[in-house]
Amino acid sequence: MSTMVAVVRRECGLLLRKKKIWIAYIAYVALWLWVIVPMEIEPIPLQLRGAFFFNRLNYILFFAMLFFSLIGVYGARSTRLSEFSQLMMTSPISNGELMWGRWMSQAIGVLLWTLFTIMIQFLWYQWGGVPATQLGNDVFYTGMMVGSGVLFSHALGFSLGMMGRGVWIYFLVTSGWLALFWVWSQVENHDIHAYHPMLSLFMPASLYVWVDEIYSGWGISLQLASGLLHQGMIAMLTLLVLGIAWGIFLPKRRIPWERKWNLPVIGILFIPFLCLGFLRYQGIASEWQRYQKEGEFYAHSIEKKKTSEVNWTLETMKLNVSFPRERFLVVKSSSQVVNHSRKKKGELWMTLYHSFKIQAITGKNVASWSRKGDGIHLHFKKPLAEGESTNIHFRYQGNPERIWQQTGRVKTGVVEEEGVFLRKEDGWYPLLGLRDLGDSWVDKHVPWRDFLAPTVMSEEGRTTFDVTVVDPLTPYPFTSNLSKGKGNHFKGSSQYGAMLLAGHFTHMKIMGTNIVVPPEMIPSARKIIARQQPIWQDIKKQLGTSVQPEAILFLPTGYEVDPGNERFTDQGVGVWGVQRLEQLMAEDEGTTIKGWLPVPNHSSDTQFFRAAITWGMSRQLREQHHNRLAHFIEEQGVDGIDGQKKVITYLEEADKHGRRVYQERIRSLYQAYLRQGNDDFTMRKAIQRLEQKERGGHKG
Amino acid sequence: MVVIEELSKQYGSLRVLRNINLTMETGLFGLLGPNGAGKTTLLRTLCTLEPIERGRVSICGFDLKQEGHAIRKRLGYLPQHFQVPGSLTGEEILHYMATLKGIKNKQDRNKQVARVLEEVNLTAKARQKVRKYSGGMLRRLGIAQAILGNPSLLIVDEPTAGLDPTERIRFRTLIDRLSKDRLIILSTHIISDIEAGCEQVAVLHRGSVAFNGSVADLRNIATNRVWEVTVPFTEYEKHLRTWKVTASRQEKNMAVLRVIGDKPPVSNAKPLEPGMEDGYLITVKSDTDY
Ligand SMILES: Nc1ncnc2c1ncn2[C@@H]1O[C@H](COP(=O)(O)OP(=O)(O)OP(=O)(O)O)[C@@H](O)[C@H]1O
Ligand SMILES: [Mg+2]
Repeated sequence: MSTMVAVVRRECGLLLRKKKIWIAYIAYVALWLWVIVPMEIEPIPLQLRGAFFFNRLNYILFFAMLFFSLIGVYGARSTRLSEFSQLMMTSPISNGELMWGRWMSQAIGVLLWTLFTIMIQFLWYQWGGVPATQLGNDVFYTGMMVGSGVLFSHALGFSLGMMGRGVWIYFLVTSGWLALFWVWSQVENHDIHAYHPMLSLFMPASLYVWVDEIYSGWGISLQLASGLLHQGMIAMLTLLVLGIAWGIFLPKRRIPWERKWNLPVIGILFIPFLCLGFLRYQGIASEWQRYQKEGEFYAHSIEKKKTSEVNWTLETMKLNVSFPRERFLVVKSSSQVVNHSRKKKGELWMTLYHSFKIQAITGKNVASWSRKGDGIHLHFKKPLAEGESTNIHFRYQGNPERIWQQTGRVKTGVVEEEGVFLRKEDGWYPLLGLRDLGDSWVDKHVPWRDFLAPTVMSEEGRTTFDVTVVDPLTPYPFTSNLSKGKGNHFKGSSQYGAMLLAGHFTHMKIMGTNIVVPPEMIPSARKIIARQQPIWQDIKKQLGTSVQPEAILFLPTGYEVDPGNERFTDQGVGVWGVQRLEQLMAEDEGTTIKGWLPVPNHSSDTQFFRAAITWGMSRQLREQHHNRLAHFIEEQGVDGIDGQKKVITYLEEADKHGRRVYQERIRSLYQAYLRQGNDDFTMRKAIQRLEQKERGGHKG
Repeated sequence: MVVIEELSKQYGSLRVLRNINLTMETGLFGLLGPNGAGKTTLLRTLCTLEPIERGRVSICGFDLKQEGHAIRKRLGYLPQHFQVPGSLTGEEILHYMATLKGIKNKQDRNKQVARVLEEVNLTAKARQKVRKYSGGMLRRLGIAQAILGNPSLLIVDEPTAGLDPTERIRFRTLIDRLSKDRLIILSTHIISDIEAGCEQVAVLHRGSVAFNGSVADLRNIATNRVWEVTVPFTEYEKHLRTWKVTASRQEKNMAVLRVIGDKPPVSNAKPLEPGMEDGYLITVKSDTDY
């Protein structure tokens, strides 16, 4: 042992005395400066600093792995072949001490590189004022990933370098890595679903999607556990590779204890590697299986087209929910449904997530029921006439958890000790109508490539909810979009439905909107609401429509679900991701306004109209465009704007008479829009009507 | 101490060592042979650096193939191409080698390093980077590291190459002293290196042992085979081609040649007292004549 320490000390000293090494490190730091400095000239939003760093580091990491494995080959060759090393071999030092000593001294150089990398990250984050927790997390993650990745590649190169005298090993190693980079670039630069998730089992390290069980987006909190497991496996593999190198290195020179222990040591090292590898494999395989099963389920869902029972309303819904253990809930529900159709109805479709086990569906009028996917087909004893109602009671239990793939891997239907997150869209209580609780496409050409997304669903009428949580599981208080009563009791009428949430959250009212937010995010939430509030008011004033949400849930990354990439569900409950105050990006007023407009972006005419409305509301835009509406519209890139000269002139005319006149015109146009509908609306037609009416008005 | 039996080695199709049989006892053992004869290969084999393909070697009673580690514990080696990291000082190299040889105690090491530095007259240069050493100084450092740890088997491959006359004499004295209680195997092209203190000599030629015996035996090979011939200087060139001339000097306009031959080359040739070098040349040359 002490001889090995001497070897490491001496060889490491030798290495660090080489000027070339320091030049290489300095060049590396300079490379980062070259990347960072141009970036910092234009100030960047804080949260992008991390994304940016990891994006660049990912490329650097792969080349570092190539580089260090070549260094490893070189190290092994010089250990076997150099004159001085041969002289060392005539001394009584054991093969293991000699070899590991040499490897370690180089490995210290490799770790020094890692240290440089995290130092750069640390300093850059510090300089940019990134909060300490994120900084700590990120730096730890980087060190772990990069360190174990390059150490492994170095050990692999070292081990291969032990194999032969020829220089072909350099070519072998280089081409091996380049092949891996190619696969990797195919994966990381393309669609997030373009590779089989099992491939990630074979990556030595990656800062992106590779480390999670299935396709995952960026988010250290999401990936830390699986990242640790994976890199643990890689670390074990590194030891194993070194054990094998020990066996390959001059087998005839081995001293008796080495002869005896080489194979057993390799065997012993193999065990933890195998265990961790198996865990990792299992993790990926089970997640993948589940994901695929769900994907297949929704891809083949026969009711894909049917959405809701338009002629029914769910008047009341009483829910008694208990959470006896993680990933499990037990529900008793009572609901009242009303038929609004002129025809008598003897059957009704409802929807409940298919993984629940239904114990009973009862009701005075319920004759029988059957299940088809997420759908439940109810038959009544006595058909319901218009206006008639009936009560239906459900008893069911099961695991509501669901996994989605969006910009990142997202879990919903969460029932865990750390928190509960049940959205209406998870189908955790019986919904009215036959609904799709998920949407999936399967690519026939690439069998593993499918896509699974949550769906957006809107309700026809309001429902009065009464939700009681009896067995809360989590120590955190429950919140909901419904008003909170005593204990874990929620009541209220909602058009959205019922959402149940527990965790590190606070429920509060900011400017008339129900807010659920992690306590440390309250300042952010206040700021965000304060930004939106005047816009809601403006829209209400100008268009006469309220867009203010019933409730907004501010969720930290990882919980956030973003159905259809809309900013908020049109039912008035927003689920927003939230960043810390110091990380909030400045918002462009125009973009924010557009995000709230009740006119969807549907055609070039609606696009034009949206721009026109925004113009009426924004102060910023007027300044930016020197009060020139035409200028602004032009910049919006609306299709076929040349043909709209007349319309623009009309609007500009109004604008000249002041903001009030302009806004009045917009309101009239909005009325026309509501009458004409999304598909038929054109600005020209609407304005013609308006002018006719005005002229008519003058005459009369 | 060292017994070599039927040792053979091949590099591809090139047979570098052919059925070597040698026995070496405590004292100085000289290994002679022309370039490419296989001396270095033989010495590397004894140092456990080359695997043994055929034959058996036993050193201090240990089998080279099976118990290399035991042999390495007793071994000091100066390779023909002694190269060390240039950024270390001579002293650092010696400390490093001493540690590798298992001298763990720091005080012990200090003492030994100081001693060997003194032996090769490098104390003044001990703190200098090896990069700045002259060829001869580097060679002496090589000798110093080989004798570290008081090895019972010392193998030195052309130790005197590049040494100035003073240092060579110092080296010979050192070797003389060391060879009292250990086996020193010394390969060289400089016959005078071994002429003085050497009891046992072997000549390797084309991988085979062409001669094995004492210094006197080697010298005796040349008995009645060395002649002095005086010829006019104008004929010098002509005779060089026909006779085996090992030395020559000029006296006025005559050339005095030292010629090796079974018979006197000319009738008035004067028989000379044979030297070791003559024996060596005969051994090597008669071999080439085949
Ligand atoms: N690694 C090698 N691969 C192939 N052939 C080799 C190798 N090493 C030595 N040889 C060959 O083996 C033969 C013996 O070489 P060796 O170095 O033992 O000779 P030597 O007697 O030490 O010569 P010198 O006096 O020049 O040092 C030579 O023909 C040489 O070309
Ligand atoms: Mg040689």
